[in-house]
Amino acid sequence: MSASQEQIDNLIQKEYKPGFVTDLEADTLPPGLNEDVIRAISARKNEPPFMLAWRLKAYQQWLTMREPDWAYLDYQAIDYNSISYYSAPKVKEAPKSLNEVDPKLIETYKKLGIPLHEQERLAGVAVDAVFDSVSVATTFKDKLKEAGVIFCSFSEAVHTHPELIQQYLGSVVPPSDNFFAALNAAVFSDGSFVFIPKGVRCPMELSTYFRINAANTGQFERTLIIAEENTHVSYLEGCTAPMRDENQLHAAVVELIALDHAEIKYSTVQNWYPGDEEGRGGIYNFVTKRGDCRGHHAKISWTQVETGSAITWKYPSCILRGDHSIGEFYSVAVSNHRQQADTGTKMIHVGKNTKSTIISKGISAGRAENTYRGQVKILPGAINARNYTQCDSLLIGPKCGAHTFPYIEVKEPTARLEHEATTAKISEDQLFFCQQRGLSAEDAVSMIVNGFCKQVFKELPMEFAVEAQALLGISLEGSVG
Amino acid sequence: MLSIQNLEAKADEQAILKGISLDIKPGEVHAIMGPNGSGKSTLSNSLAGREGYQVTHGSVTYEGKDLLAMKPEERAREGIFLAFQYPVEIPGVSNIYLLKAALNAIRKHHGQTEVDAMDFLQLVKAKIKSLSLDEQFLYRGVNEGFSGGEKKRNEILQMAILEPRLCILDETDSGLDIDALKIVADGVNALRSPTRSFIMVTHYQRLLDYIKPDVVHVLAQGRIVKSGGPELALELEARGYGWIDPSLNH
Amino acid sequence: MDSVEHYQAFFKTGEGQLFPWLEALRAPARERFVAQGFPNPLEEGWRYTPLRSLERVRFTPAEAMSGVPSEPVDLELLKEAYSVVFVDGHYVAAASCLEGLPEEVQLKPLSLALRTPGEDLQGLFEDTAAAASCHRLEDFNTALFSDGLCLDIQPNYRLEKPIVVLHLTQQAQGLNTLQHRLRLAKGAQAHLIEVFIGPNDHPSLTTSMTYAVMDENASLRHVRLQREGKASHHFSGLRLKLKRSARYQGHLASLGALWSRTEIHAQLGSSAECELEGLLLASGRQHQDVETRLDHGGTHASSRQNFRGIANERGRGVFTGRIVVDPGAEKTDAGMSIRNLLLSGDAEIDAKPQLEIHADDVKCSHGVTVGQLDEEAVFTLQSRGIGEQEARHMLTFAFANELIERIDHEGARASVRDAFKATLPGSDLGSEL
Repeated sequence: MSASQEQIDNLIQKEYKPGFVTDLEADTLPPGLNEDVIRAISARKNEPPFMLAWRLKAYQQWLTMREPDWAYLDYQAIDYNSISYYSAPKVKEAPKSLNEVDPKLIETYKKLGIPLHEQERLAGVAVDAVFDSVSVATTFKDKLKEAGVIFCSFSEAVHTHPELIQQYLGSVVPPSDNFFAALNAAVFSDGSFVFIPKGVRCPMELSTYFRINAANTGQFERTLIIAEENTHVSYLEGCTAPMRDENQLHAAVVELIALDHAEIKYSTVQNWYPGDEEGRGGIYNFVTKRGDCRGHHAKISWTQVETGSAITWKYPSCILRGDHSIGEFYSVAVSNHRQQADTGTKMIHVGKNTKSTIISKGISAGRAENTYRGQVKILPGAINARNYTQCDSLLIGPKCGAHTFPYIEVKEPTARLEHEATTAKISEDQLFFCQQRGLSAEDAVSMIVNGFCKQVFKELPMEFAVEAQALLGISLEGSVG
Repeated sequence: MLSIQNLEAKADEQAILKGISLDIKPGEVHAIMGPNGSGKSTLSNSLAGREGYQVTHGSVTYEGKDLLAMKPEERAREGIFLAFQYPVEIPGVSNIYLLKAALNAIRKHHGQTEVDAMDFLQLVKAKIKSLSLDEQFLYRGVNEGFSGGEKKRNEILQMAILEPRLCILDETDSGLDIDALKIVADGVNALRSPTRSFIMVTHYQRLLDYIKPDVVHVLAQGRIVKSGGPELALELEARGYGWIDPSLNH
Repeated sequence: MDSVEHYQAFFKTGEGQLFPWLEALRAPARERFVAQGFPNPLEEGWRYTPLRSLERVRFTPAEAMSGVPSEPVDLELLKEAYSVVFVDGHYVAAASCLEGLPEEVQLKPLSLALRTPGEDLQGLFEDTAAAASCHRLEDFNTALFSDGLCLDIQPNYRLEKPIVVLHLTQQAQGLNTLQHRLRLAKGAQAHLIEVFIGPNDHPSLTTSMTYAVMDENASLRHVRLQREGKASHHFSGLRLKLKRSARYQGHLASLGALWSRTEIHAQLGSSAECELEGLLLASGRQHQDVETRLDHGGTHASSRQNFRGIANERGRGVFTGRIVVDPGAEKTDAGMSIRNLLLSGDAEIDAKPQLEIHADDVKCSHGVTVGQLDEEAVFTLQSRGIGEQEARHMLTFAFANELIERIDHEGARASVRDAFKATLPGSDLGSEL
């Protein structure tokens, strides 16, 4: 075992490439949280009064709430008054076009492999780039506008489409939902907004790229996607942060609304800085993501590849309200060194003939703890509801932990539910077989791990699949698809 | 090609092989027969370098090199192929991907360029036909949900594509019905050549009806107790292993 | 007066002088229970099992009685067995049979053992399972238990004849609290069959805790049939300590009571084996909860769990099964399967299988299904002339019977089967099934 163990170790000791810092002048609020801070954020964004009122109410709710402690996570208590709740690259005026965006910012994204110049961009993906607390650029806006699609920063949408914001904001994840959702509602600074009007198939993939740069700053963004009747949209989300010794808080909220026959596919490659080998630094990632299949035959599909963050607390969920609606959750969560991930999903079946699928692949290495936590709830009246869940955990090394905590609640006698979970280490028989066919132990591990994750990778859009595989440190041309 | 001198080996801390010597020349087919527990699988696994099998004494020279000093993948790249008794399933990794990765690893080892994707596909398609396998077979996970016969044919397919110099067939006949056995044997016979050698490990003589060995060795209690021509296998079949190893009489 | 105060009046406090070790066991349990009361549904372990209905009634322990049970029970089962009968929490010698016990086996009710001079009971009460999984219903039991079974078997003695323990509740609003202590020395074997029976017409509460320590290579077969009355509350817990290569095989049938919780916690040492099978039936307004927790602490230990639940009418079935593999417990092989039939629109099944793995060379799995009877099978039976209702009963019975068939003691198997048939609502299954 020792020889191959060493190679496995090498494989999982990958350098964190996006760990650099961009030196920029920033407008940053001093640390601390109170009503004045919230007023200051709202004022900086020049928000209409309804937004400020909403934030203040959320803040009052937050004050009465307790930080959840049920997750399988162990971290130092967060001092919410030591965090700065707003930081933005300093600009005199909002840039009207990409040409006015600070070249340093453009350079940052280029280094991350996200060129913002449209001509350099692969046709077919529009990008909204969020840097610390604000959106710095959105590409292909005009082309999308032609199709009727609205894709812009959240703060812009507050001004240009206040009626949509008022109608949908908080309608899936109300501020009272949980501690971090309330905090986000009070202080969120930006995010992406997507609106697909009736009958439109979004002509290109939409993508938001989140970057935390400033030190001692929390990032609180909010994404709202509304897909009206008979629409389709595929949305990608990526995230990175510099390597810093202290922990940084990221508490985002994503709300998806799918009306009749609408389909939203939401893919995430989460690569926040995970901290170093000893567990110093890294992002604390507390995210509430939820989709509401409000219409019949609506479909919401979450695909996530989670490799980053020191702490992950994240359960992208679906409320299957509309009859015949479909919820899907495909997840690969990799934790290494001292990372801790508690992630999974909730599928709430309300409508008739609703269907959900959960495929979760956890990989745990080093001294990491990797937990799947999921809930499938089938309410009375969800006639013929179906759920299939498969949770597999792969262990690499004797010091990590892998845990599976599903919650199954069925109150409808025509429902059928099937849940399976397994935990095992990489099989020595498989390793030897591959080696006997001439592959090195390292390639053999790569191949087996990728095979293990294949069901999830094949759900990712092509471009993202490649990034996801690269993130696992694995070359696997041809085996995915 | 292969020279085994006084090989002793342990499996699970138990001494299994107690001094085996064997010489195999290019083009030869050697059958190694023996009752359960005689050390057949330990011999195959020790030659392939499987973890958990510890060689405690003796030497193995393969084409002039010290085989025992090589890692399992190096042995494979040097042309040693083990057809497994129980081929493992690798979910999510397609057959064709494995074949290509393995072939390229071997080619790279010999300083050759990677195989062109189109050429490779043609090569593979030609081979699967001769083994009566469906093309779909290539795109399924390695051995995932395969029947016993399919798994064994898949081993032969890999052998046909990787073109090894020394093939070790570990109980390849076990669990095969007569039709599947014929297909597998045809596959093996098609690969026989003056430069390629075979070691066939088997409990029964049945396989030897289809693949004619040059030499037959009988293994008992970790030693080769008798060697001879193909007629030895027939005699063994007729008289049972008790003939060779009285401790098996009861 | 709240429920905690009510029960405080019945705490056993007069034992300190004679049995300081017993007082040392009871005192901390009393304190915890008084301080925190009954578990509440905000606690993760009680999420699906509220204790409201249990707390509403003020149950009262019976005075010691020497009368015989008012009706004979399970006579078949008592044949060819040692028997220990507890009525309303007290040993009834007249109904029990402990004759002919070999000297290698100490088997006595606690009440008797405490009065026997020279009896060393302390050892039996020492090696209690870790307090980590202890909760206040367990404390409640420890504070109040009035009697119990003490079983101690010498090394390598194989007790072939089963020991049948009957728990009967007769008194209205009766509180029946027992604690059993078992110790099987190295290589010892025993076969224990427990039956819980109570009246249908008034509420009662039975709590029964069993602590078993099994030394190296010891083996215990254990059948538990819970068929308490329709208004009863039932809590029973088993805490097992399996040392190297010890083997436990348990069959549970939880069929009776209005509210029932059965817990099985086991600590597995190296190469220990633990097999749990269980059948749960919740109909009417029954609440049936089974909770298991297996801690794999040593290498090469294996555990198999196989549970089936049927929820009908307004019944609710709850399963929690936690498998924990400690660091270093390599080569653990642990599997759990929970299959459920949900047969009515007002019924509910909740399942919470959990894997908590801290070692890498392991094979662990769990599976849960919730579904209905196979309509194709129903139709097949109908097409052979069987009425639909009957067909459904046959298939439901078959679902349960697959587990019942695996009980290897004929008398126990028959008792469980009969109890299941009698409990299955609307059932009038012929004896040929």
